[in-house]
Amino acid sequence: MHLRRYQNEMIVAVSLLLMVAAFLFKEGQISTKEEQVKVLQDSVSTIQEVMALKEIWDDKQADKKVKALHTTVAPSKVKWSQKSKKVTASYQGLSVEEFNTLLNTLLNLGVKIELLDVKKADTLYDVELKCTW
Amino acid sequence: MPQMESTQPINVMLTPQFYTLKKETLPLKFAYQAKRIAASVFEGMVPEGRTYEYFVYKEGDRWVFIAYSLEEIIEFLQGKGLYPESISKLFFAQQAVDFFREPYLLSDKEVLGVVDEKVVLVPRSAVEDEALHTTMKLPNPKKGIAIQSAYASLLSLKEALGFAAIFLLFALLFIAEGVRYGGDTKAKTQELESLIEANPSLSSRYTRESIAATYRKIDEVERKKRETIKVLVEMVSKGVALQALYMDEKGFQAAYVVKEPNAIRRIESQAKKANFTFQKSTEGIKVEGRLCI
Repeated sequence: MHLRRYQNEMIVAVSLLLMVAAFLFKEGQISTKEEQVKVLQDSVSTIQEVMALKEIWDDKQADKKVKALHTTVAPSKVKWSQKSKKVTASYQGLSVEEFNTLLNTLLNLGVKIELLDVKKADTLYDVELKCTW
Repeated sequence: MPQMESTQPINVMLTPQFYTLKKETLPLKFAYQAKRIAASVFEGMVPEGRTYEYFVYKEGDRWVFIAYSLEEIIEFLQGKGLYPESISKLFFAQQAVDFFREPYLLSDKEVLGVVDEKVVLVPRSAVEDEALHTTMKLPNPKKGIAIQSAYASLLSLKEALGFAAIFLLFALLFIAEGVRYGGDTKAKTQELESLIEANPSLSSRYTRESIAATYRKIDEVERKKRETIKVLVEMVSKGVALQALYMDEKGFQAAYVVKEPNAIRRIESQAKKANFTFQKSTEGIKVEGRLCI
């Protein structure tokens, strides 16, 4: 076979092959980069999410913040026990306002509510509360 | 004929052994008409087993018909190192009849000469040495067989280079684009590195996924508890009082004393919307549900 016969076609074919290879290289680079960025973005998002969730549910200041559950009502109405990262509180004879304030305070704290037991006697509320953090 | 090699396309003039010639006086005006009847002119004259093509031109008031086998000619030329792509045009010796009136030495044994207005091969011994020509500047007849166009490249070198230049330009653009895309993750990598530096415990992907899953679960459950308490408190209105509320890790129960009969429907609707279980009792209303996800 005389290759010279196909010389011109070969020039075109080789350059076309080069172009296709370059195109595949570009597509490969794009998909690799997209994959890398996705992995990096996922890692960054996960870390940021963990940080944000830790800030809420593993707050270092929780020991102090949780004291608001003690101070929000008159001390005579509360039996308070705080051990390590756990609070057990018993509230007796809370007025509606005091009960609402207590609930609002509880809902805005980053603690895990293990038990909330509310009973109404006449117009006053008795509340048992257990929470951890 | 010796072996040849050519880098440039050349013209080849074929001697009579490669074609069959016939002259006819016919009432034809155009060459295409003559070509149409050429096959019938050579009927029984050319050997069978090969495909013949026909070349026609007018010589004075007579039509010259030439039958040739392109296959045979190409076979012969290839044997001599001349490939179709390197042959520009094929001519027939008959087309240069005037130049062969003086005999031309073809080989040791043969001479090209003209007999009866036809170029023929004549034995060398039949021609005197003095009359022989060994070199001759042959003309390029007007008509010929453009063999290169049938056998050579579809594209000219100029066209091929043009296409190649375009393809290479695109290739360069693609490579440049690919390289540009490739090195663009530095910012994200730096961001991740700085985050890991601040939180070394999260450096392992599996660890952070596991920690994230734990916190996601806590977040989900605790948010649900808070949303539930909000909905239960919102059910309290004029004529509706919360009598009891119990909530632990698994679920909740709330009891209401309802003095306004119209409020029952509203609470029922709120309970349904929040996917709580609604129960009427003699003492009032009971709403309960599960918290496990």
